[in-house]
Parts: sequence; C-alpha cells; structure tokens
Amino acid sequence: MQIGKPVRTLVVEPLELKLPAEQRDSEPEKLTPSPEPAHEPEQVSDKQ
Amino acid sequence: MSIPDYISPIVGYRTWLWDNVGLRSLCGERWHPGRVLAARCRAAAVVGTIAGRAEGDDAHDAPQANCTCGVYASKSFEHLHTTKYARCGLYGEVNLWGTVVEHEHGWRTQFAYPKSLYLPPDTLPHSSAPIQNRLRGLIAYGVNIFVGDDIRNVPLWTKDSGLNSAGLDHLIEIGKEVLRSLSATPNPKEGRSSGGEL
Repeated sequence: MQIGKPVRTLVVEPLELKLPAEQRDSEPEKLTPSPEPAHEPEQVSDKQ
Repeated sequence: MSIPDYISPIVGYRTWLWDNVGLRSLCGERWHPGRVLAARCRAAAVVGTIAGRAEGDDAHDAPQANCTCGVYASKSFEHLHTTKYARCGLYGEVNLWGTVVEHEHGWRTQFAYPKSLYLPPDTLPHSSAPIQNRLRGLIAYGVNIFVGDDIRNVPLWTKDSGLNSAGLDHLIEIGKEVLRSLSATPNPKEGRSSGGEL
C-alpha cells in the first residue's frame, strides 16, 4: 500500500476497546495491550 | 513508562480479501474474528535469506519509522479509491493502536482490528447459499456491516440489532440485478462479447 513518507511515531493506548464477547474470554491480555507487553504476541507482517 | 499520545484508537481505512472463513490482507494474512492482529517485522528474515544471515537477525518490534513493517491502513476512503485499493475486495474502517507510524497518506500500526465493513455489490456471490456462508464468516467479527456502493450504503448487520431487513432486501435486489445481467449476456458461441464485468 502506498502511504507516502513517514511523518511521526505515536503511542496509542485505548482506554477501552471491545472485541466480540465470545472471543474476549480467551485472549483478555490483548484487549488493551501494554506498550511493554510481558509476552511475545502472535506477530505477523502486513506489508502490502 | 511512555505517555500515550491518544487514548482512543486511530481509525484508518483498508481493503480485505473475503472468503467463507473471513478476512485476509491483500498479502494473504488472515484476520481472525475476535483476535487482534499484531504486527512483526519480517524484513530482517527476508534480508537474512538474501545475505545468508540467520532468520531473526536485526529483529525489532513493529512498526519502526525507518522500516516498512506494520499493519497498513489509509487515512481516508478517498485514498483507497484513488489508489484503486478499494476495487481489490471488501473495504472498511479499522481500529489502529499501539505504536503507530503516521505517514502522509496512511498509517503503519502495531495492533489492528476491523471497525466496520462495506460490501461492494460486485464482491458478492451470485447465489444465496454462498452469500449466507460468507456473511456468517463476516458477522463473527462483531462489527457493523454495510452493503452498497458509492451512492448509498445500507446496514446489513449491526452489533446492536443484528441482521437488518432493509439490508437483506438490498442484497436480494443486487442478486436480481446480477441474474438480469447474466441472462442478458449474449452466448459466447454467437461470437459476441458480454461487454462488461459482473
């Protein structure tokens, strides 16, 4: 995806972010991720 | 401890491929219902293969300003349209958070999850059973779904009220139009072109 040149880097920490209820119980740690997660999240690349 | 710049997610716009299982990025990455997509830089692994280095060298948290890693999104629907990405599949809004690198026309982000989905009529299957299977896959994401085009968007499924009758009627109308188009398409054996895409 062509999105131009980088401008700045931001830190975004939502106070509340709701995901579908049936999935929330299984992965609660990912709902409001810490900027310094204690674990390695499942990570993927999305470069297009 | 870093102080956040924003305490609510940034909303971007992007395009997904769509099948019975659900959503995929244009590069093929699966977006699972109810599960946050978290980015990792694979550039080091690619460079490692080329340069003979082991995978994992130079690995870093994604995204970094001086790399190309991260989950991508545009800043506007207009950008998706002008760059033709909107024609590649289903498009919609996406919540972005974590570390976010802002670009001139978009974002590269650490975490992402769909916020709303818009189904262009030409992405819909032409019969009811495949449509039901596909919609079931989309509804699992728990986000508002609209069907329509550049002129109007009709709610098809919403978090608060579920399936919307007006949206279903709109789907049926689209299906009828597709059938009319198919029946009006000349037989290729007659040596005539159909004259357009469905």
